[in-house]
Amino acid sequence: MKRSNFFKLTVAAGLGLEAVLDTCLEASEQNVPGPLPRRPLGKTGELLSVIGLGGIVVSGEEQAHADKIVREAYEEGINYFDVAPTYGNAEDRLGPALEPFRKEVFLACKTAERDQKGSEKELNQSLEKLRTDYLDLYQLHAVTTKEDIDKAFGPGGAMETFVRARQQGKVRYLGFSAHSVEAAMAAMDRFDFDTILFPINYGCWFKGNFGPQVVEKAHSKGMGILALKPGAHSRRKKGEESKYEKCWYLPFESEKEIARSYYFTLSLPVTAALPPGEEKLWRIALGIAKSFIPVTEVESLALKEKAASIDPLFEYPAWQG
Amino acid sequence: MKRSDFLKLALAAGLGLQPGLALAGPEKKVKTTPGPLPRRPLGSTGEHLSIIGFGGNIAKGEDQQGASRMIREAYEQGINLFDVAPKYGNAEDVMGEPLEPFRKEIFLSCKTAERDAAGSQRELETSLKKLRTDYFDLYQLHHIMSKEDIETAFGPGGAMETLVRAKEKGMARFLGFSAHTVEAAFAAMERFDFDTIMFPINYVCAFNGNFGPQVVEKAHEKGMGILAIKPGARSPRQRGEERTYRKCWYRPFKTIEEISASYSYTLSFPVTSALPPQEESLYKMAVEAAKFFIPLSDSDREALKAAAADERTLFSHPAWKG
Repeated sequence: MKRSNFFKLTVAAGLGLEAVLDTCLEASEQNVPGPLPRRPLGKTGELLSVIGLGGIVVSGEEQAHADKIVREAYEEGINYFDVAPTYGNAEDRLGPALEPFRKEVFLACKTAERDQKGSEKELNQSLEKLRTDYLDLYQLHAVTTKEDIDKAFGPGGAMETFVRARQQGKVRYLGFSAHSVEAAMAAMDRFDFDTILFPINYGCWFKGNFGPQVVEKAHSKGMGILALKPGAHSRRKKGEESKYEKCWYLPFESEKEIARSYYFTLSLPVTAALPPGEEKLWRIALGIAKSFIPVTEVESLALKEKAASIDPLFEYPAWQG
Repeated sequence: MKRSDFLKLALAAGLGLQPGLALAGPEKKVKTTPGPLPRRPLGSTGEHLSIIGFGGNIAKGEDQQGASRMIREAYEQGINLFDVAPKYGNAEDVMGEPLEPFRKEIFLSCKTAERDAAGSQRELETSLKKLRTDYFDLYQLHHIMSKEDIETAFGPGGAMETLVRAKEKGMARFLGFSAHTVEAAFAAMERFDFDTIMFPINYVCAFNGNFGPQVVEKAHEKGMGILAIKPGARSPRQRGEERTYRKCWYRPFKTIEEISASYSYTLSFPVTSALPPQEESLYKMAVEAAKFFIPLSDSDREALKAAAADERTLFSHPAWKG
């Protein structure tokens, strides 16, 4: 049988993933999920849990509650924690909460400052707030435009802080987060980063043509790939309210939809996925990752069909001219 | 292809060989530790099995002490899938005792190569007795190959009568089969609503033999659990070539880099577990590689396709005549 005919036949038929999800999402005595897997982070040799804890989850929470969340995350096998100065008081909460486990976890932080001075100041502040003398990963935050790139990599730019911080042992690895394909490609061309943090979900991937080129390039450079927005569905419509105060877009809501979305993202060579800042959604993601199984090509095609009706969060191309 | 060439090619293409490289790079100051062996759901059974299983063949030829050590170590590694068959020499005889203490916590699967009801019933009872248990988690038709295998097993007085009855009586919780031709696998899936399939999945067979991916799609679509055998198989032995490993009838991949690449390919499919070959050293490397698993990218797959071109495939499709 020709491959194309084979695909047509099976896409029309039922999907195995659905059968798996039906049983996995149903709690029963028989259904005991496995431990949270870890995956290698590019060429670094480090192994991170496939689900990380994003600092926004503890932002705005009482310290006692933040402590509880972080301890639970640690006990679940999460060893990847990501934060940034722009996440409200997340750094203030995460610092004390992480202190008991600091040496065993992989702590990533970012700076949205694009110049050397501003980023250095932020780095030192973050270290202080996070009660540590080093970060495992320091990232340029939300690189999006051409100006972002030119500034950060130009003379007196933030990259000077980055390189020096690594020499001084203040950070172990260097990375960036990006929200446009163009910026991601440009950053990878400019510097030999260890990691990239990038939105990866099937809506953006198929409908927005946003993701495939970045994943291939980063992976072939041996970079660790960290996936943002793995459970994002679409943009919020103008004036539409969000059920989730800490989530600026519309996430998938049913467990089954969330699972489908994470299964797609985790079937790519990404090390970890960062759920949105909403505690409830983070917990759902954690459960799903313990029952992960890759999607097939046919399922991937079925998700492509579903994506056709999605208004994706990001698209490529994004830069004009 | 030479190992060095293979690696060069793989690295040039950015193949996800970082697992092996990470293992091989002692100069790096790595801070984090490998996670536990992951588990995956087994089709729609609700069960979760470790992504590497313990194949009873590994225990074949071992004395009780050796087999007990292997089984205890496997259990401690987080392995909860133990698979055996009457065909694996003395494996059933030496696995019963060490499995007894944690029988209820693990998933024990067995098989019968008998194709008729009476013969398979006898084998089932003997297997249960040897393995010191009153039930199997999974009971499978072993090694379905030919049209004749199918006709006999599924015909009147065939082995399927034993399997169905065993499930009714609680002697087997789930039913499955292992197959070594695509045709037999499809025929079996059409004849009966099995819970699982055990099938050879590796990149040489997939790319060079047109053997494997079509079975995975079909089984997965039916919500069946897929157990991959021969995940680290390279090629058949040449005529007259001696076995490198006593218990392994084909040429397996041997280095951690090769094993990482090969298992990464297999585990990038929705297979629940992969069962390493019958050699303890290879099985241990597979467990290590599995802890470093990350799915392949499209370019990784292309690189493996190129690497496969120089290998002879263990199985190919079509296999049936006419």
